[in-house]
Amino acid sequence: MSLIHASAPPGWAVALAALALWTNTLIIAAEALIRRRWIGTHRWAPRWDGQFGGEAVVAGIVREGAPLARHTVEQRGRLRARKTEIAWHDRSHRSEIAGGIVDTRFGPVRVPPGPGEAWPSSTAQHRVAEHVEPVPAGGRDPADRARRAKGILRQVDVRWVPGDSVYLMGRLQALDDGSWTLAPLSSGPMVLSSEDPAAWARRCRRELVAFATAVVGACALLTAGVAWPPAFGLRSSLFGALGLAFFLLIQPAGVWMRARTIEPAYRNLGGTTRVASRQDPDGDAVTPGSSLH
Amino acid sequence: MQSTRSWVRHPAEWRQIGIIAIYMGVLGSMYFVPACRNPVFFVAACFFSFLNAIVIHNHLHQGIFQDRRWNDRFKLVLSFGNLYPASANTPSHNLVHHHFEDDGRPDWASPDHVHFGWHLLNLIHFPNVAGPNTFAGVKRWAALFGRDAFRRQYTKETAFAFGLTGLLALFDFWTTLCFIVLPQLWGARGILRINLLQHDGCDTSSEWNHSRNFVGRAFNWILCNNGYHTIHHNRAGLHWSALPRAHQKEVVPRIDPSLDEPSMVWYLLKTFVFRFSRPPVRDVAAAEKQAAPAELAPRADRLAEAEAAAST
Repeated sequence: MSLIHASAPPGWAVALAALALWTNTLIIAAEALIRRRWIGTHRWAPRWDGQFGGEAVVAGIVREGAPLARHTVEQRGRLRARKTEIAWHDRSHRSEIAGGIVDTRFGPVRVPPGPGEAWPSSTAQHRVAEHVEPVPAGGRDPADRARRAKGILRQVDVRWVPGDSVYLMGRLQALDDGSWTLAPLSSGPMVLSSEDPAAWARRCRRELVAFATAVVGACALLTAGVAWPPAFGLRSSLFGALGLAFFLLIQPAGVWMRARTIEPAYRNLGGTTRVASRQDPDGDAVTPGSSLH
Repeated sequence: MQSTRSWVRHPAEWRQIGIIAIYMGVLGSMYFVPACRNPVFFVAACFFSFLNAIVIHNHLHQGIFQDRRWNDRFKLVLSFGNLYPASANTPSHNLVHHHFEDDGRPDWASPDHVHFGWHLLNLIHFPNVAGPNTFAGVKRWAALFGRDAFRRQYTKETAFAFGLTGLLALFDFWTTLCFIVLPQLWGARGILRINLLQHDGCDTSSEWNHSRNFVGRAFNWILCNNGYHTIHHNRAGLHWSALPRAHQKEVVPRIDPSLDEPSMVWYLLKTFVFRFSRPPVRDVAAAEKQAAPAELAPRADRLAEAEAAAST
C-alpha cells in the first residue's frame, strides 16, 4: 500500500482506531434495533382480539367524507443551478382527519373528525405532485420566481374521498345503531392509511434487523481482514482503507435507514419539476411533469 | 508589501493563527518523526483538531485576513485540519443552525435527532446523525441557483483536504490513519457534539434561553470565546473577542442561571457520566420574560441578513 515508507503503528493507536470503528458500528446497529423494537411494540401492529372493541387494523372503502382525510406536504421550490429544474424541499407534513363513514366487511365504521395521522401512498403523492401548481398560482413565471432566495411554494395534497380504499387503525367501539366508531389507539392517535400499516411495520422491522446484521457483519469482516497476517502488510492496509471508508459511509447509511422506516405521514417527498431551457422558444415556463426522489 | 497590522482584521486573530500553526506542527511531527507517535502528541493533536474546528467556525463568520484570497487559502488548511470542507459551515451553521430550523424543518444538528435512553450514547452517536444531515443539506443548498463561488471554493477545499490526506496515506497508510485521520475526525465530530451540549434542554424558540454557555475564563481564552453561545447566536456579526462583555451586558440579565455553566468538563461529567438518563426539560425561557426587553431584530430579518452575507 505504501509507496515509500511503511511504519507499523503502535498497538495502542491501532486499538483506538478499532475502538472508534466498533463503537460507531454498534451504536448505529443498536439504533436500528431499538427502532425495530419500537415499531414492533408500539401501535402499528395492534393485535385484534377478534371482537370489536379492541384495537385493530380494518380495510374498507370510503362511503362518506368530503374528504374523509387529507395529508398535505408544503414544499418550497428553488431553481437548480445549471439545470432546467426546480428542486422541491419539504417544509412541513400535516394530517387532517375530517371524518366520514367507511364500509368494512364488518359493517360501516364512523370516523370522527379529530387528531390523527393520514398515511398516503408514495404513488398517490407522486401522482398529485405531477399536476400541482405553485401557490399563489399565476402571476410571474414560476421559474423566475424559483430563482429568488424565497423560491416558490406548493402544497401536495392527498385526499381520501368516497370510493377510495383505506385502512383504519384505532380502537373500534360499538354504537347503539349497530354501526361502529373509530377512536384513538391507547398508545397514540388513529391512523388512516392507503396501505396496510401492519405490512408497513413488518417491512420496516425486517429491513432494520437486516441492516443491523449487515453492518456488524461487515465490520467483523473488515476487522478480520486487517488482523490477517502479515500485520500492516498490503492486504491489511487495504482492509484498513476499506475500514475507514466504512466508518465514513455507515453514518449516512444509518440516517438513510432511519428515513426509510419513518412513518409515511412524515416521509420526505422532495422532487423536481422540469422547466423549459432559456433557449427554448417557449421561454422558461414550467412544463408539466415532476419526478420524485 | 502589506504591513502586519493590516494583514489580519483584528489583532486577536493571531491567537487563531497560532492555534492552527501548533496543530499543523503536531500533526507534522507525528507523521515525520516516529518518536512523536506517542499518547501525549496524539491527545494534543485531538485537542488542537477540536480548536481547528472552532477556528473554522470563527473564520466562516468573519474572515481572519483582510484579503479575501488569503481567507480562501486559509480555508484549505482548515479543511485539511478536520477532513471536511470548511465552507460547509456557511449553510449548515450560519444559515440553518443560527436560526434553529431549515425552512420549517429541524436544524440539521438539532439535539432532537438522537433518542437513546442512556444519554451518554446520545453524545457518542450525535455526529453520526448530524454529520450526514449536514452534508446532505449543504449539497442541496449548493445545488441551487447563484452559488457558483461557493461551489468552486467547496470543491477546492474538498480536493485539498482529501487529496493531501490521501497523499499522506499513500506514503504511509497506518501512520496517516492513526496520527492524522483520527485527530482530524475527532475534531470534526467534536464540533458537531458541541451542538448537543449547547442546546439540549434549552428552549430554541426563545430569544435569550436557546443556548447553554460555558463561561470559564481560561476555557474561553483557549476556545476563542466560543463558550459564549447565546450572544453569538443573537449577535452573529459581533467579533468573537467582544463576546464576554456583550454576554455580561445582554445575556446575563435575561438567561436562566442554569444555562451559564462555569465548566464544560463538570457539565460533561454531571450530564453524561454521573447520570444515566437525559436531563428533564425545564421552562428556562421564563427568565427572559421578567427582564427588560432588548433591541433584537426578528429572526426572519437576521436570517435574511445572513443569507445576503453568504451570497456575497
